[in-house]
Amino acid sequence: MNIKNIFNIKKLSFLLMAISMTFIACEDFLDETAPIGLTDDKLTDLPSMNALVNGAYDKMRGFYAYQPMITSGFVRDYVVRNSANWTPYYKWTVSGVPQMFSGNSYNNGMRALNAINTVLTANIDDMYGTQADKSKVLGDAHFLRAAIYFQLNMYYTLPSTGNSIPLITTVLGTNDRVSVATSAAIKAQVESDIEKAREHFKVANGVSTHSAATAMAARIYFFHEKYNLAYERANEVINSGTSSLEANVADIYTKGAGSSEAIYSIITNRTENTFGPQSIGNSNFQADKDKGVASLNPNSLIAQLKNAQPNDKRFSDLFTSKDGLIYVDKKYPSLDSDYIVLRLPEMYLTRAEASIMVNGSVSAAAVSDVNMVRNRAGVTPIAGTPSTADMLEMIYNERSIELCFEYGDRFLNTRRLKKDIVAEGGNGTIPHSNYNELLVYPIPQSEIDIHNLKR
Amino acid sequence: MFFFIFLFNINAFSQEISGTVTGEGNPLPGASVVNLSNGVGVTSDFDGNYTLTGVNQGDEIEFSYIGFDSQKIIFSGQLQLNVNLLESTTELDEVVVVGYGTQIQQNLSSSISKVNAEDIQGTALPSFEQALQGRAAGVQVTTGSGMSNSQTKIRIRGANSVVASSEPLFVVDGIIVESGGVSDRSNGIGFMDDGGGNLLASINPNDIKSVEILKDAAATAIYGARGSNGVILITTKSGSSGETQIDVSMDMGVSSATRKIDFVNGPEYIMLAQEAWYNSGEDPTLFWSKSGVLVDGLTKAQAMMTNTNWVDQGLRQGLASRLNISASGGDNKTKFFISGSFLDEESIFVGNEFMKITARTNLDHKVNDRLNIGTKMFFTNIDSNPVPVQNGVGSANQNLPIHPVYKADGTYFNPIRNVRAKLDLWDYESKIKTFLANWYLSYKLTDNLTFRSEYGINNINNDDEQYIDAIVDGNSEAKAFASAGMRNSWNFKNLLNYKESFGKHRIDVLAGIEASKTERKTSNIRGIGFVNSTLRTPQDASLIESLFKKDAYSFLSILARVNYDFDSKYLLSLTARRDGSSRFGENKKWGLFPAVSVGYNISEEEFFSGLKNTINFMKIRASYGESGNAEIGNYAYASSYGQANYNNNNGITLSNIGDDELSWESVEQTNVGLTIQMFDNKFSLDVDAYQKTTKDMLLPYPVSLVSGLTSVTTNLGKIENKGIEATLGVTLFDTEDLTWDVDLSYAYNENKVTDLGGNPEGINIPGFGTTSIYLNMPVGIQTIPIWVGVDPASGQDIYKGLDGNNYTVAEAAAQAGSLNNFLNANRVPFGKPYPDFTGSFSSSLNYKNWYMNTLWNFAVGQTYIASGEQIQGKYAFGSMDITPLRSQLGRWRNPGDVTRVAQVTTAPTIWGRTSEYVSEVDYLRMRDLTIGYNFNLEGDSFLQSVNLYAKFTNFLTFTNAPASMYDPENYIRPGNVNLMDKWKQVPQAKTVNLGINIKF
Repeated sequence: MNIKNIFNIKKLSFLLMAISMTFIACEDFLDETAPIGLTDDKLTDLPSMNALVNGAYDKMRGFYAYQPMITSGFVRDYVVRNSANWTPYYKWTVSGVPQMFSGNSYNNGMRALNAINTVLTANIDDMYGTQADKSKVLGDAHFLRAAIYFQLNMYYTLPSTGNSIPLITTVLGTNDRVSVATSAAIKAQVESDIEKAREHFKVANGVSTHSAATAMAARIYFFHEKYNLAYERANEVINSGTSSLEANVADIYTKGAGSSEAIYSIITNRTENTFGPQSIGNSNFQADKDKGVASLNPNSLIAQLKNAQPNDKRFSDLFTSKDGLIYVDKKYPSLDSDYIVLRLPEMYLTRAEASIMVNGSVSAAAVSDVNMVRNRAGVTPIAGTPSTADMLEMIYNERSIELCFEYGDRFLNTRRLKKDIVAEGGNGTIPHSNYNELLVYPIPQSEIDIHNLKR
Repeated sequence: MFFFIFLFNINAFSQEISGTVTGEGNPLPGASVVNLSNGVGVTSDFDGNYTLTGVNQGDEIEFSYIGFDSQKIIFSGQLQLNVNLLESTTELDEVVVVGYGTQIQQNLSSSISKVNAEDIQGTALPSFEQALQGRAAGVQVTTGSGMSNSQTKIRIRGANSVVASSEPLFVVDGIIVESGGVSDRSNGIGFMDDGGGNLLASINPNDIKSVEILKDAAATAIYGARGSNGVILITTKSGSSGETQIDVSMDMGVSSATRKIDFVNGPEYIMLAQEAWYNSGEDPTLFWSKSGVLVDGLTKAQAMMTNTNWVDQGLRQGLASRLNISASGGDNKTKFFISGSFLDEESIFVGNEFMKITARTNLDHKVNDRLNIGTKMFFTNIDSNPVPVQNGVGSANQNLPIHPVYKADGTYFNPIRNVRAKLDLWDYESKIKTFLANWYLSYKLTDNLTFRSEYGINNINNDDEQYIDAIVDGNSEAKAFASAGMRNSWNFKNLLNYKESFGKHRIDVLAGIEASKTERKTSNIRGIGFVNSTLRTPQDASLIESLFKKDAYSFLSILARVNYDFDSKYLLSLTARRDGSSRFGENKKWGLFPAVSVGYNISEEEFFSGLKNTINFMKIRASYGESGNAEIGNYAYASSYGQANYNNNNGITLSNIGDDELSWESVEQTNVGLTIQMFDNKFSLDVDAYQKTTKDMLLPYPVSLVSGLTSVTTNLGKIENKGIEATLGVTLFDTEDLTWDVDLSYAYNENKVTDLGGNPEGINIPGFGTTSIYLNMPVGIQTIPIWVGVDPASGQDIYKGLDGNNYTVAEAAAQAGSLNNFLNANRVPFGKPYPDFTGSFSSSLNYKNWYMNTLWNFAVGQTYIASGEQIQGKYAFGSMDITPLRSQLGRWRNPGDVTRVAQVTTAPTIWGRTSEYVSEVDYLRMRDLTIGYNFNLEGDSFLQSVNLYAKFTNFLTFTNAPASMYDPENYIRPGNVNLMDKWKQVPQAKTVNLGINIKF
């Protein structure tokens, strides 16, 4: 074989190789599937249902993130220093509630609901797993749907029409259109869901527990003004003995979900998600004049109560006075602390008030419930049996002190009782009739546009 | 019998000649040798040798080769005829690089702009493509900022898309390269707002021989599904045989911001703040104690004495020095071009440093008459220190002029807001290495048929480390970040090229297949909280978070092109490319992109000869075709659930809703053009008119949150761009001592959305802002409420309702419940995101040893809505932590005042944009002015040439842009949405460079 031949063979085979390489590989070559992320066809077993539930809990971090700041702003419990961002909440009387932060609860809530509804419409019965495994998933799904719709309904219902947001219990496609539901319809769904959650959690606790669902039910019925059920559920939680009051108030917040009085918490894990109520609360409330932006409004109800009983541990142990300002910093002690959504003192106060609302009179048990909370805070217990009106006022103040700057009880309770809110400069008050229609979260404009929503 | 006599006759009188055709001394393979008397022609072989038979005395023989001036020689009986062709200086014979080949200008029937090396090399701009601004009509180039490594936005004939990238495709020496940002800072520790650097900035401008910009469909269809945004072809230099030439150039430059935003000073701030305090009913005596202007221990006395310009804390005078060395040469078999460059730059941004080293080796070797091999290898090493924009100079307005930079003890005053503290204590080091190379083999199967195989790679690695000190963090946590990014692309193509002439028919056929794949990985680690400030890597942090990304895409393509011309008179070109990509949905894997163009060189016709002395050349062109845009994301077609863990348990959440039908955007384009050269080529005119329609526009179609997401990606709707481009060139003087050429270019483009499927009322693009797309309006507009003015009676702003009535702030709040509600409910589509027309004027003047080149750009008709400086400034006193613009001084004070600035109060910020913030932004800018001197050298000097020059970049700007803007060349953001609204603006730089160029 001479040199020329070798060259020709090489040349030919190279050509053939080159051409075949590009053609043979054809269809395979264009198959590039995403190496990261799960495709939707895999959602057929309990582990993926569990993953959806966990994904929904992760969304709850964003769902609750701004809630304490916005609602405490509504009742003017804090004033804002040097922050252009927060001024709208603190001066809401002209500007209304802006989308900027309130949209987070809608966005995260709806995205969590998508996962929850995917679970609740899946054929879990036919999936491989024990009944306990299935109840865990279903319990959490119903629990979260109740928790989300309860909160959304509380803040998005327009009082003048009684209309709220769309009620979605199925998995909707991108072309589906919905309309707003009445607040009453959502309330019914929330109550049905929380009871189902309780049933499933009776079989086995999931991420949340039977007592969390029961306590959530007490809160729901309380603000739905179904006081007999609120009483029953609160009573069940207290009597179950699963929770007990923390001896030192500051420990509650540093221990977070690990506190003996925490009933339902959102776990903070910054490697999973840096966003949540603790990051917003901690950075805004921190006791630093130039870094934190919110400090106690000296004209607020909380400040008045603090002046009346300065030795209350809930003030002395949780608030910091510095630079002529009062910081409410210890409820959000660090960026890593958990966010407690529900804790035992609320159950005592709910049981006490619910019993008065049901019976129309003050019982010794109701006084003792309130004193449980007062004793722990180191304040003088209520002596004897006050009149119904006095007792209700005491419970209102007690709830205000105990639960301020937390979930939003301060605003919901003030509105439930149609009480006034301190006015902007501290000069005078704004009556319920003025703020009731104004302190409503705006539905995101894009949702209004797509579904042509009218509340 | 007659036939034999005929043959005999010819043989009796004709002869055979042979010889070698060289071009500038190098053998020219494939040169055309034609006996014009009988039309018989041959082409030279690989060594430039030819043999032509049947030549008679007196026959005229033409020797020609593209890119060289043809020579005609009357045959007078020579046996050996060697011809040396000189490189063409006329534009018509100029070689133009087209996709996968070259053509000469005269035979081109598509629309391609060529930019020469002189216009790019030595540029003081951050990246070579920024020097293309004004060099080609219809190519709008916007430089990101004066920061080193800043990004560029290029729109060729308007914006074709809403959210798919509208940046052109960049092809370097035949390889499609990655462009755009370098660093992926997902899960990072601080917002940089610089786009992550610019991959194209790695290219050495001095290596570039020419840049061709493919504009119409006939030119871009050869790039199929990736061509519709236009294609920018970069060709690097190669050696030529002869003595080795060494070229050294050095320059040094200083730079400063073109202009600065005008804020109020200390005393003005105090005056306005106290006035706002008083206007809102607050107690004036409590201003200092209650308003919040005194922070970080500042006293009233200190505040009254302080007057800090915070912009000056973020900007400085920049310094840059460049060195470029190249050697080129070779012999008959091997040619080389080797270059190295070094750039060291401190930009106008405090703390921003950039160092770049590049090295290039281009080699071509002739193995034998048929086989050629070669390589081009390019390596870049960049070491840079980017600085934050929004958190740097962009936060100048979040400091008050009455606040000092440092406290008396020398520590930073209020460091979490302090511009200087943030720049000083925010360390960032980014190292980028790129390797771009190709190897080719070209084999002549027959004299007419060539096979070429080429393999290319493009590797990009970035290694970023960031550290932010605890004292500038709002939560007092130090943060560290490390990112390693890697992109590997390969590209393999095999082409067959057949060239043949039959008499006056010339045909050039190209067929090929190409496969390419790009893989990308990013590993990011964030660390938060450290025991000690000496610890600065994420590994030592108390909280460590990681993010890993991996994706890939592939293309498989078949391409073909036929170029035909008859006597260089009638031109026809047919192109088609079939592209398949992993990015397309299951049911839409393959797309076909055809194009056709025709040209007619009228001036070559017989009947034109009478005019030919005046009109030297005239061509009319027309083309029609389709190309695509595949920048639709790698996995947008697939549904998926992403990770969303909770309490250390696996969690997932819906992250994309897929679509099997998802595909490329396709763009149909029609182009007609006219080229005229007159008066001995001293006057030239190129005019093109085009109409482009983007079909199947890629949209993040807003869907309701009830589906679990806010948007899905879908193909929907149409955008139209139509316009006119004209380039006029005039040679004013052309004498031995004085030459003066001037060029004027003009481009008009009209962009509008022409179809939105079943959404005649418009579509709101989800995400930041209020960007919407509306029928018959350009893409990129916004919907905003109309601000009418300030009520002279009350000093309140007046807004226009959709009902046509005007409302003061109080009336609006009363009507809609609140001002926010009113503004949300009364928005209208507004604005002009693109200039009506753009253009440039350039002049090149040589007088004896002196020369002066200049380039001026203009853009007219663009509007710009708002920036944080304006919005926050208007409500500066709601929070007492914002410095307003100086224009706030013209505020309303007393009933009857007619002014455009409302009364100052402590009302809270309304974040929504309104037409109050709109301004027209037209400008005329001297982009470049270079004045130089070429030294006369002694004949026996070892130097070939020495040239000294001064270069002024962006030195003069004339604009009507308001003082609230840094610069009218406003990059805003990549992409085509939200184009009139940037939260914090970024300054541009003007520079003066002194340089020297020596050739050995």
